[in-house]
Amino acid sequence: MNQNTVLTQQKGAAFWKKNRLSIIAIAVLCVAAAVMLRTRYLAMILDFICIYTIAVTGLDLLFGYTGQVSFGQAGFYAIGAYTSALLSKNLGVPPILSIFIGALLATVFGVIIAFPASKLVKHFLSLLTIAFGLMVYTFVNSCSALTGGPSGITGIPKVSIFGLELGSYQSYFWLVAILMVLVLITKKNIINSRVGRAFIAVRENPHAAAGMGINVAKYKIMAFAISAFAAGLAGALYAHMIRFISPDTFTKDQSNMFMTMLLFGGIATMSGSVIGAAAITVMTELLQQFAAYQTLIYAVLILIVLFLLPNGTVGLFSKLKAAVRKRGQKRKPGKEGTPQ
Amino acid sequence: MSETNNVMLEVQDLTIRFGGLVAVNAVNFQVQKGSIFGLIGPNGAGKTTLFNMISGVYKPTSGKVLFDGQEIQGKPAYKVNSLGIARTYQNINLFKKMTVLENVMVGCHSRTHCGLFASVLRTPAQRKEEKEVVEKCRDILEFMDLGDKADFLASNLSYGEQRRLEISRALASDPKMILLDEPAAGMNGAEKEELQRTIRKIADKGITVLLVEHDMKLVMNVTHQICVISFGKRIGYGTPEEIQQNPDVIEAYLGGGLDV
Repeated sequence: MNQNTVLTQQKGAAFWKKNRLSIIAIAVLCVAAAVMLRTRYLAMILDFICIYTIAVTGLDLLFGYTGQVSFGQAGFYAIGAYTSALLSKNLGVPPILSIFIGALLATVFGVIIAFPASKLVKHFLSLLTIAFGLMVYTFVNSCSALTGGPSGITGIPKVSIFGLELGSYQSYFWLVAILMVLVLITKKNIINSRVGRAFIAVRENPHAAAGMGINVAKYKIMAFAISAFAAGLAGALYAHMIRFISPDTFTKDQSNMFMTMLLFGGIATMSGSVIGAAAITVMTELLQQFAAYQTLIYAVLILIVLFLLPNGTVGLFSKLKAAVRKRGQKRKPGKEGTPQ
Repeated sequence: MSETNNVMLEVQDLTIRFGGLVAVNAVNFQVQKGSIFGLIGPNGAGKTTLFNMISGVYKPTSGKVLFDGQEIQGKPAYKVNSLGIARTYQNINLFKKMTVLENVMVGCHSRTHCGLFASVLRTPAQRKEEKEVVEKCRDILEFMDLGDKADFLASNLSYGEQRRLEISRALASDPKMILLDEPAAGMNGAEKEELQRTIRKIADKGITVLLVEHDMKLVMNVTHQICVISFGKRIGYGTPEEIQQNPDVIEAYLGGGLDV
């Protein structure tokens, strides 16, 4: 028994050593969230961070892992938002259900777009996804009978779970935070599986992937569907949080924002989408007086990332970590070299 | 057993045209089960094109490819792989940002089944399959002498090691036949000797080997049968000894390239 305790302790120590950075980061985040939740405005920012993280995580699986670019995520975001808003407001579907119907409808559109998209590469794929985003925007903007046209939809119902109404930004946080964590766990499980390896193989070398028995088109479509589901889910959560939607939210600027968040945080990493979503959301809030220059700011950020931080902020962190380790190693031989 | 049952691969009048160019013209050959078969020819003869037709990258203009009695010409590459043909590439096509082990694990794709939902939920079946895949791939890496490199990034391996990793990845799909496209390219003498042993070891496992190679010494040493093509046409077909006596072949190689 004694030995067992020692073994457990050793295991615990090893776990701590391996994951200490993540554990400390999560603890700091929890404290920060607890503090922020005390203010309505800061709670709103937290909600946005969670919602954007969900959308960006989906985009990361598509772009970061499978290598398929999309500048049309706002289209899926809009489909999720409008579907859930209309179902809950006009047909009385409980919002907690309509949110997922919205995400599923976005997924259906993701699959439809993916069929032609899976045959395209690089700039042709970019153009197709931009066109898709524009099509959705134009539809919600002009189909007044269904979507309310430019004036949008007001009075979207609040979400309630088991009779508990999530009316405030503070209470809404728990819903979006739990869904964000579930989405992140889903992502982690996917990338560490046969499916995730197929995604990465498609990104790294589609010809070799096909030669290894991977149905490249199928996995591209799957990645599109997952990213559409995540964006649709985020859109629906957004609609029930702000309780008002209009086409202005779903322009190509929104798609570009998701891409900026992903690139800034770092593609194909676990923490990149969270860091990117948080950093860009906070930055957008701080620079609200320069809102007219938002796109310009994003453009500059993307250029900075592309030229200076090809692996995003996460890449910068791992560089720092490696540098610290290197210094530590340099010091060690000196110690051993001292006469005893 | 009838003769046809011993044939792993049969290529019948296989032809492909790119515009006006006939890259491969009515080529015929048979590969016996369990044998090592060499496909040779001067540069630009159409060897890799032929390989690409067998492995499903190109669709032939006409002719048939019979694999284990089944017509496979024109099938997509991923289906050809799941039927039991694995291949390597002349210009190394590894997944560079994956580790050595992960590269081999991708090779198991067509022999494993867990899909998206099983992966997301990490079902017991999925976890068991993952564990089996890791074990199997480590065994293959040991077999190919890459066991200690499992956690390296593929791009950090030496050239010879990358070639061995390509073969490891192909073996992971439990193929009935493996296509090796110039595996000795860029290798030094010692590495070539090693490769020769490896090819024999693979054949000893019961896997039929189809080898495209420039290195005559290697081909003559290791193969049981050879097909020579030049300008897309078959100019010689037989055992290594017969090929070395064949005047057409000698001429195609500028009368002397066949020194062994």
